Amino acid sequence: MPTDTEPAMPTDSGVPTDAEPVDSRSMAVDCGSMAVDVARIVADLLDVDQAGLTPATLLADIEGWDSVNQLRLLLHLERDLSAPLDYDRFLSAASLADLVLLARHTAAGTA
Amino acid sequence: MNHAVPPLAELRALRREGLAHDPGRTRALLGALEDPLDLEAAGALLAGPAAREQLERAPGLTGRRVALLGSSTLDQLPHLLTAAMVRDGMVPAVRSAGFDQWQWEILSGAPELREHRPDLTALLLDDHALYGRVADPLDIDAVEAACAELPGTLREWTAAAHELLGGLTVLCTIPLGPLGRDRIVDYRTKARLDAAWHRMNAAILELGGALPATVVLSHDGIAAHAGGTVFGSHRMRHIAGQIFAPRFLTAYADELSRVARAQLGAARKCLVLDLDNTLWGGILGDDGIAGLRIGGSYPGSAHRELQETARDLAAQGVVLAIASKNDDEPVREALATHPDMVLSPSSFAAIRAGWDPKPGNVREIAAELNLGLDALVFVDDSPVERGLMRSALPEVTTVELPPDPAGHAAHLAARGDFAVLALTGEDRDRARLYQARARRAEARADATDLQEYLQDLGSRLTLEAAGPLNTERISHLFGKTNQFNLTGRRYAPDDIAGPAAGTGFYAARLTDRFGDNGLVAALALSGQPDSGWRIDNLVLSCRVFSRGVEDCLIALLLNAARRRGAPAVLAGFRPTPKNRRFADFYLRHGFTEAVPGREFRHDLDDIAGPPHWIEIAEPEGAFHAH
Repeated sequence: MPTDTEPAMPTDSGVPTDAEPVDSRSMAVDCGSMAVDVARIVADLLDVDQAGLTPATLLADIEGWDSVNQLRLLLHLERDLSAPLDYDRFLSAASLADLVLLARHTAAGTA
Repeated sequence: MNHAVPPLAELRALRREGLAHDPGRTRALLGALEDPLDLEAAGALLAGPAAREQLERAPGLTGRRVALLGSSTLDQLPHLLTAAMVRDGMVPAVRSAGFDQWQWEILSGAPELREHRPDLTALLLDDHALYGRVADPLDIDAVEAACAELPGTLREWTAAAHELLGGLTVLCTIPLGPLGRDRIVDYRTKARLDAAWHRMNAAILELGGALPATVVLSHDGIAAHAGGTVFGSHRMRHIAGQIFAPRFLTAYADELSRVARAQLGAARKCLVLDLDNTLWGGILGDDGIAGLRIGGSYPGSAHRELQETARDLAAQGVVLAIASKNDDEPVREALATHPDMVLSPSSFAAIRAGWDPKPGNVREIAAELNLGLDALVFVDDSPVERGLMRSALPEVTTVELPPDPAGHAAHLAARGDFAVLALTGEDRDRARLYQARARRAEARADATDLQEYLQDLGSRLTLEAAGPLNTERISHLFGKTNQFNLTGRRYAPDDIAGPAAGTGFYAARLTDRFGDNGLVAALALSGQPDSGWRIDNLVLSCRVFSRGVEDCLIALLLNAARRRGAPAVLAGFRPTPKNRRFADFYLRHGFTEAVPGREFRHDLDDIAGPPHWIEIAEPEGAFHAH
C-alpha cells in the first residue's frame, strides 16, 4: 500500500516534484559509503562539459546521446549503484533529474 | 590516494592539454584501470579522430589499423581495444562491420573495410554463427553437419578476407552458449552436441597452421584470463544482442593487442628478475643459502614455479637477467649450489647483484645486452622497487605482482609480454647467444675489476689453533659447512678438545675493511709417522668463497710442513652430495693423485705463493703437526 512517506515518482515531463527536488549543485546519489554522481557519469561517458548539465537538461539534447550511449550509461549506473535499474523507467527517463531520481530510488530500494 | 583525480577525469584533462605531450602518463593511467567499464569509457575518450591524431604524434606510439567483425553486438570492443593498444604502445584506428555482417561484408567485397586497409582483421563469432545455419537446434544430425561444415566456410572466408584486406587475420574458436546445451534433456544428445562442437573448434584451431598470415585464438584461453567468464548478462543479450561479457571482451582486446604487438615485432625480449622473495623465498643475506625457500612445500613451491616459468621462457628465446640487492658472490653461490634451484648462473645473460638503485642496474643490463629499455620486463616482489622502476624507467614494463607468491608464475605468464606470432630458430638460440656474450664481457671485466676489488678489501687472515675458546665454534663450522667440506667428516667438541694422538685442529679468521667475518675455515690435520702430514678435512664458509682464503691456507700449510722437514703432505677427498664442485681442489693446488679422486699427495717441491691481496698474521708460526 502506498503511504504518505513513500517518495514521489518523477513526472513524465522529467520535472521533479516539490517533495523531492533535484538540486543543480548536487546530482549525486547517496549510495551507502559512496556518492554516485549521475551528472559526472553522463559527462564522462558522453565526453561533454559537466558544467553544462543541469537537472533540467534533456538527455536527448546532450551531444552524442544515442541508444549505444544510453546502454553504456545503464551499465555504469548499475555498476556504481550495485543494483539493477528498472529498465522501463530507465528508458522513459527524459531529463537528468529523472535519472537522478531513478538512481536515488534504486539506491534506497524503493524504485 | 583518497583525493586523487578519478582516472577518467584525468584522462579528459590530459586530452585537453594534448595527449602527444606525455603519452607515458596516458599509458600508465590505462594500465592502472581494471574494471572493463572503466576501460571501455577510457577507450572511448581516446578513440575519437582528434584524440587519435594527438596520440599518433606522440613519441613511441605506433599507428595500427584494425577491422572487427562478428555475429553479435560488439559495441564495447572498439573502445576496449583502443584502451588496450594505447596502453601497449599503439594507436589503433578501428573500424567495425555492421551487426552480424561478417560473412556478407567479405562476400560483397568488403565495402565497409576495404578502404581501411587493416593491418589486423579480427573475427569473433558466437554460437549464432552455427545455429543460424540449422532450422531446428534439436536436430542433432543437422547440428553435427553444420559443425562439420563451418571450419571449411571459415577457411574460405579467411582466404577471401586476406585477399581483400591484406594484413593478419585473427580468428577465434566459438563458445557454445549454455542454452544451446541445456535445452537438450537427454545426456546422449548433449554429449553428441559437445563432441561435434569440440571437433569444430579443433578444426578452426588448425586453420592457424594451414593458412598464411592467420592466428587462431582459443576462447577458453581468453576466458581463463577473464576469471572463466565468457557470456554476459542475459538482460544485455535480450536488450542489445550483446553475447559476450565485458570482462571477456576486455581479455579478448588484450589478446588482440598482444597479437598486434607481436606483428610489429615489438614483443618484449628480456625478463629481469629480483631474487629475494621473488625467485626464491627468504632473504639470502639474512637466511643464508640453506635458509632459502625453493621447491618443497608452499611457498617454496611457488618460487620454484616462477623459476620454471622463467626457464620455459628462456627456452623460447627470452633472455633472463637478475637485478638484486645482494652481494654478487653469494648470489652466484646460491644459484650454483642450492639443490632445488631450477635456474643456474648460466641461465642468466646478465647478473647485477649489488647495492646500487635498480634502475641503474637495469639500464646497464639493457646496454650490456644491446637491447632497448622497452624490450625489458621487470619482476620484483617489492612495491617500492616497482614504483622506483616505473618512475625512473617508464619504458621498462614493470609487472604488478599480487602479494601472494602463489600466483606469481601464472600472473607473469598470463600477461603474454613475450608473445610472438611464430617461434623461429633464431628466437630459440637468442638466449644462448646473449648468455655467451655476457659471459665473455664479464670475464674481461672480472680480470681487472676483481683483482682490484680484492686488493681494496684489505683482507687479513689469522690462524688459530684449537683451544678452549674456539672449540665449539670449530666444531660448529665443520658441522654446518656442506659445500666446501672436502671429506664431509664432522667433529664433535670432544674430538677437538681431546684430539687423538697426532691430530690437530686449526681455524682461520678473516677480517677486512668491512669488519670481522669470524671463523671462516677449519682444518683437521694429522701427523703420519712415515709419510708426513695429512689433511683429514678442510672446510670453508661459502661467505668467503673466491677470496683466496683456501689458497692461502694451503700455501701456509705446505710451507710449514716443508720448514719442519716433512717429506710430503697428504690429503683426502670424499664426495658428498654437496661438495662435487671441489673434487679437483687438491689437484688445482699442486697435489697429485695417490688414489684417484680420493687420496692426494704434495711433495713440497714447488709450492705456490699465497694470494698477494691477503695479509697473513704470523705466517711463520702457522701450523705444527702434533
